Amino acid sequence: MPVQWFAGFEAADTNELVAIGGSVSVGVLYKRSGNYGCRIVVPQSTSTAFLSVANGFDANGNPASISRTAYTLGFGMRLMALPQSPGTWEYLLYIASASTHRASLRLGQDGTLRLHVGASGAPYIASFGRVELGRWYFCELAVLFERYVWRMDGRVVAQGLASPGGSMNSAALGKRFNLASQGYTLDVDDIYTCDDGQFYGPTTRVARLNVNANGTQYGWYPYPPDEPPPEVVP
Amino acid sequence: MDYWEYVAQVPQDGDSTYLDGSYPGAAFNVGAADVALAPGEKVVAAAAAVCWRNSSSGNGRVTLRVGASEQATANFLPGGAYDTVFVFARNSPATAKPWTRAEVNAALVGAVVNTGYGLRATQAGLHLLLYTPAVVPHKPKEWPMNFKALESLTATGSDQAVEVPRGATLVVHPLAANVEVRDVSGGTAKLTIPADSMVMLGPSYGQTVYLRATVGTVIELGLT
Repeated sequence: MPVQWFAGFEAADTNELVAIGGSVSVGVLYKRSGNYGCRIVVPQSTSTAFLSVANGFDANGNPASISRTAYTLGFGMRLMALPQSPGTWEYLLYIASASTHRASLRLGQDGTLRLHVGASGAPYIASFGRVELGRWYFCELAVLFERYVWRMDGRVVAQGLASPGGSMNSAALGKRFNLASQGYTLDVDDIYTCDDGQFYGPTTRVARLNVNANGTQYGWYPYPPDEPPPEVVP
Repeated sequence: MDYWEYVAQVPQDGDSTYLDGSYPGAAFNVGAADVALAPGEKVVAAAAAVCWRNSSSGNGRVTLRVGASEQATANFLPGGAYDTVFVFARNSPATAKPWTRAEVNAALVGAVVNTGYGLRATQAGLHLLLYTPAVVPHKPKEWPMNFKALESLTATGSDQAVEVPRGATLVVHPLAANVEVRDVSGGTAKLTIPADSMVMLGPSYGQTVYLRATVGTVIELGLT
């Protein structure tokens, strides 16, 4: 089966990512499903804000970036504010080999999403939108070695032949590019990655089940220890 | 307080409450809340999550168990700051097949001390990737049958009129006694339908037929 990793952004789940940078926060107001979602505020300055998405786990159970020839991502997205400088765009999703651009979804100042595959300077090969602000979309992009498929809310926006130019080992949601623009605000939730072209569609959600029952325990001691019962004065 | 409450806080509460693994071989497991699946929803993958740290020299692993079957990380030395570690499982460790709801509900999340001591677990839980497969719309090969079930007739012992619209065929099924069929009320019976057999009369030119059976006989009727 192809799915390799997922993140639900339940409380404190930014720990599930390879890295975060800048203003990234988890909160109940940002959710698509479950209890919490994640907000990325790409700032109006020269700094950045982003999530580095994992596409697998290492042997110790930590989210990891692994080199793959096929890189598929699905994520719920809700734009709350667009880049505000005329003619500017920013990276919404950036797929790379280390820092070398392989594919990206770019967000224009007018709310249009554009797909680029291959060299970063290559022209866009498909577009979507304009997106509505404040509405959840479920975006899925599969980049394989010779083709791509892009879906929004389960419907194919574009598919065809294009080569990313090599393997991929990293992806970032929210990534500053145009320092002249005034940033944007993006909510994300329910992220998954695959190592082939498998899509799970807009019904995908990540649920977190908190513990609510004892199992077995020996040699693990609760802290703080239970307080002793009060002494009874006869 | 049950010991599982020491690893139940969302978000995790650091060193305020935790379970401390104090010697090699020490293990704990906790159960997760019941997963509420929407109709048709499936479990694609599960990941046990334990947020822990090392306060001394503990080496250990995080585990995901279903029954006696365990899937775990490698044994390793966690760092000194709390970090969430996952055990990712596309299939149930018990069956090596896709998760069922019962297996998810029976899953146990925990950790084992391998060597040393001082491992502190402050949060544990189970994350699930869920999706609902697209519903395949029902596409009949032909238009639905032109069949209408009529109210059953309870025989009175006399002729009972049944109008059969032009072009329709009347389906007659007496349950417990024979039924006589007439084209003229009070006339000679033209057909006798044996009990518990089904006969189709038609297509009709728009006639009325008369059915007669022993009092109380139920006669099922339909038009097609």
